[in-house]
Amino acid sequence: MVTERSAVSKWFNGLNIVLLLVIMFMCLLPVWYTLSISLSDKAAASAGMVFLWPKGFTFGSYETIIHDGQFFRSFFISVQRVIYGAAISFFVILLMAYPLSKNGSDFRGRNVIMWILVFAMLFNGGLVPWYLTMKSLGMINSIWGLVLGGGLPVFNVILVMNYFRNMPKELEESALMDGAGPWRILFNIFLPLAMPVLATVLVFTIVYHWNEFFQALVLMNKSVHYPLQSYIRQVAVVIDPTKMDEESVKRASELSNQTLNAAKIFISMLPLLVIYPFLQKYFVKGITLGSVKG
Amino acid sequence: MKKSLLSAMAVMLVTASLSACGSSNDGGNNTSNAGNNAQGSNQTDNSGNAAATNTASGNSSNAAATEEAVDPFAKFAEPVEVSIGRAIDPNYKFDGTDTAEDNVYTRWLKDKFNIEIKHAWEAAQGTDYQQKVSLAISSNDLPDAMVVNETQLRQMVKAGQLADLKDVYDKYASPELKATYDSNPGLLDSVTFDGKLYALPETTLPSAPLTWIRKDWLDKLGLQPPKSLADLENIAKAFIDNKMGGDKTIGIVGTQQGGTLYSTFLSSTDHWYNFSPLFFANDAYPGIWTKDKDGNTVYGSTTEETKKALEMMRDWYAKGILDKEMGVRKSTAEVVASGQAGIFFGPWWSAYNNIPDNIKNDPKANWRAYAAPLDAAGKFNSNQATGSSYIVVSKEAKHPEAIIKMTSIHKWGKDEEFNKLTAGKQMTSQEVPLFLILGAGDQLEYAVNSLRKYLKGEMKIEDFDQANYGWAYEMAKHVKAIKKEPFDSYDIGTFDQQADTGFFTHIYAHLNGGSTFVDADVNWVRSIATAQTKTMESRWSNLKKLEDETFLKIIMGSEDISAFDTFVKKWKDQGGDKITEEVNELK
Amino acid sequence: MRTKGFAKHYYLMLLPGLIWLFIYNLFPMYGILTAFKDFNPGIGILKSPWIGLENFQYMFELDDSKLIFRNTIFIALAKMIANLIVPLIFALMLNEVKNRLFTRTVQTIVYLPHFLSWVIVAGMMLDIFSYNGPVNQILSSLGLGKSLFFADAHSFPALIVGSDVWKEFGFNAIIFFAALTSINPEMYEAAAIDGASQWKRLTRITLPSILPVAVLLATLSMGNILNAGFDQIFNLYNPTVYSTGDIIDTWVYRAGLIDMQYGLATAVGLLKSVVGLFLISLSYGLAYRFANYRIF
Repeated sequence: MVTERSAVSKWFNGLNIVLLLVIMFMCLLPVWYTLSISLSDKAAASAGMVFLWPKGFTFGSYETIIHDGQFFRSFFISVQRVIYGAAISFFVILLMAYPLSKNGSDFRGRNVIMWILVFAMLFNGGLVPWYLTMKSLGMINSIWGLVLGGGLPVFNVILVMNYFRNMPKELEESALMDGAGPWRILFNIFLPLAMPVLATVLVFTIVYHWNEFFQALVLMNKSVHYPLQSYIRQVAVVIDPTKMDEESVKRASELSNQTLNAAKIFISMLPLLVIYPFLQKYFVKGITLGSVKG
Repeated sequence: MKKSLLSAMAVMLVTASLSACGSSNDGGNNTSNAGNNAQGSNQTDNSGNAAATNTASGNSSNAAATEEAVDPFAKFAEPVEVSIGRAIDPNYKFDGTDTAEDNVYTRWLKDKFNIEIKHAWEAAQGTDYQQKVSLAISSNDLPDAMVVNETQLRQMVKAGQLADLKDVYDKYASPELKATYDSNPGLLDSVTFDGKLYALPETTLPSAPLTWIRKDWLDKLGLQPPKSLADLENIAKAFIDNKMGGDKTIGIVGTQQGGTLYSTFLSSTDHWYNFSPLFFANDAYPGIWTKDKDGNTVYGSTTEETKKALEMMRDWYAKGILDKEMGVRKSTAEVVASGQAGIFFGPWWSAYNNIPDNIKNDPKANWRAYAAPLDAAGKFNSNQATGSSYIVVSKEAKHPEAIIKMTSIHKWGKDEEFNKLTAGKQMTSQEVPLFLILGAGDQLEYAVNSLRKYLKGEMKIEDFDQANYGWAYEMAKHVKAIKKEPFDSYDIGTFDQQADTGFFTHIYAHLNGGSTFVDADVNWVRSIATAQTKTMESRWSNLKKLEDETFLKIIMGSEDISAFDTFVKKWKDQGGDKITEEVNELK
Repeated sequence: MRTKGFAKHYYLMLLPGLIWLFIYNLFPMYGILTAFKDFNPGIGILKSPWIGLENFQYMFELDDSKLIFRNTIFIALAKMIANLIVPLIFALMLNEVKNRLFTRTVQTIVYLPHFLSWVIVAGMMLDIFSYNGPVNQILSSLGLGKSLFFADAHSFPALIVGSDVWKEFGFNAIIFFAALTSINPEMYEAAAIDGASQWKRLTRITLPSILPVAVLLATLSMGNILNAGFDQIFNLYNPTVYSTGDIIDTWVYRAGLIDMQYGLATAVGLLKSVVGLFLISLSYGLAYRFANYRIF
């Protein structure tokens, strides 16, 4: 469609591409840097000699992780948490968003409930009452504490609700003409059309459950119950020299925390890095389609 | 623009605008991330004294001293369960499938004394543990016993959560335990409130911060060990100028992220990696309560001497002598291990931890400890440690006496069977529940002096007082394989690092750091207050924050030295004056 | 009319969510009372004695209070502006590239940082900006002085905003990509026929088309003015930068869990929530009034 291409335009486009490449590189850099550290030997890493390429290449850190039973246990707990958490959130959000997308005139009580949700999003009672509540519900040392403990993801509900609200009114009206009830409208008409936003919400939920680590520190009484991020965090504890024996001194000196931590960090972000490009296809495309329509 | 597009956009926008609210408003997420790097101050345990942890004096039989009293080492008739909160080291390697809850020590405790340990919860030592303790206290969901710090102890006393241990202590504490507390006057008084004994405090073994220097670097440059501050400055400068640790040589390393510049009256034991000696050599004692010339109580951080010390440090920092990354560095230990630094401050037991790392990278790294720098009058000053760990027992605990017993047993209850079971393996806080440092205070001195005599042949192995100084005896059995002649030099070259790797660090730490400390003539300065007063409960943390922030900024040059005077004024106005009055009444 | 009797179905649909909300979000809110009490853990929140507004009084006495509110607003505001402009410019730049494979690749990669947690990102940032880290090595090889970025109260807010933009700009740009692709291509074709330059097309067609999006985005993000990013700052700050980097959330965390000043911490947190509610209501009103758009 464009025929004329001035020199200025060419120059501009070239510069533009170079800049974009630089930006892309900057986004990759820290991840690459972490990988380099994880594959370097201890001395080089702590002396700050590693940057773009591993120094004293070694798989030592990764070998240590492979022999670490707790790492895999925690990994599995995290996977479990993500699956339960995503599944439950998905259905609860879907079910809540639909009635809330109605007008106050169609569904009385809608506005009151909506403001309660907003209130719940902004206020909280603090850690102690939350902990006591969780305890009285038997959520201590339980995967369900991690799955449900964060509370209703209000913000995701609002997101889906807004999406529903902006779907063409005609769709629902014609379904009503055919005598469809609310459940059929939701599952047969709204659900298939809402895939893009649901994919988005799914991504948010997965990322949240995978990266969240603080709740486990409160709810879990033993580290065997920790999800991966909580486990990774605690390996960097300050070593108390007064209570250490030669054995641990020796082990600690073989692998610096820095390289081992880098390896653990890298492995822990790997699943998300692998998953998101696939999910991205859905939610980005979905949003784009949704906005072009109508 | 079509409205539907706008709306679809808006969906995303709301996402953006509300997500942040969400993240700080659901339950625990509010405090998410909690101690990733908050308060690096680990649960401090000053002595670092291997000796204190291991005196195997199997004398469970001689305990029934007084007729009326119960045998403190008697086995419970029925199994007694004790639930505890426990700090664990996630990196600690147990034998086989042992854990902190079920290991050779706890099994022995069960078989021999019918005391069964149950972990109500466990968390990684350091911030995670402190957080768990805080949560347990504030939600009133307490295990029978746990080890807490000063602030937590105060909070629990105030909340009335603790059992009065007075009677069970009188009845069940072994004579040795009582003797230990008696030999530390005032210690039990500091945990007695309204006549009620609320905790078992750790006894503190003296520990002054020494200056650790790479002697091989000194020799290479033909320099003498330091005496004064000026000597130290010159040495650090020479190290940097001659790139002794490579291009990135750091003069003096110290405080790391989350650490403190100096130990305080609340966490006085932690001299590890800070800059205390630079203050002490200026006759400044920040962080503790001292007397001024007229005998009035004064907070050390507000004195002219402290200002002078800060001014000096500011100058050193600007010159690049102090670590440019002080207070921000993630791990000072790593810099020492990698050989970039040739000077740091630390107690005698520093040789236990990171120096071996450095030696491993560079077997010629010859770290030596010096009782320096001295002040203008030639004195080697240090503040005196006070304890910072306490065993507390919940008011709800069914068997407070079991906890008293455990404390006695840990140090004085070990029998032949125990020695056989553990096969000489040292029991650490990872095996021993409710681990508390208890010592008469001269363990180190005895160990160092007798080892030296033994090496020179002035003492025979039979002469060792095995009953009271078991650890010294244990080391003596290994010392000859490790320490080579000349016996009066403790340079790294005179140790055989490979001969007995299990004991090398012990021997090395005792003879290198330990001997310097034992020989040093330390001018101890003790804090008038060793615990919080009433006003401190609400005001102290904010005052301390003001102090830490101002001092760091002055040293690092982002605030003028005049900021010190502003700090003093603010400090006084915001409750400091009132607190000083309260402390004054303690005298 | 046909929807008559639907209400009970609606409530049925809401039920699971409302139960969840009640148990985990609403029930623990009795903890807010702590702000008005002399909290004694031994007897619990409900039985602790009332002290009225004493916690609030102390809060206003503290130098810190003004400081943390100021820091919070400053950082949050800077983030809001930067997170609007940078993604917009980025989207415009990418929009000029016609090679689909290239744009796809760039998009995929710039989304990446969004998926990393702040614990991890903070660790990487501290490494990269450390005194002997890559950034300082580059600076010193250029003959410039080294600097301790994360220990400098002047540069700290900039680093916070910068690292936040780094992490989120790609993800935030999604909405602009969507807006850009929805512009009718016929408009460009017509402009090309008229001989309009690339620059003219950008300023005359592209920018005006997505301006409303940007304006609405700005309005809606108002509710964020007291959210400066706890996870991020908590993992990056230290006492030397408290003066510019300590925010309400980090302060509340320290006061509560570390120093055990629960009453004070709850009071500050409550004030923040109240202001947050006010701001959300305000942006709700503004969006409704001027864009006829309802946020929720």
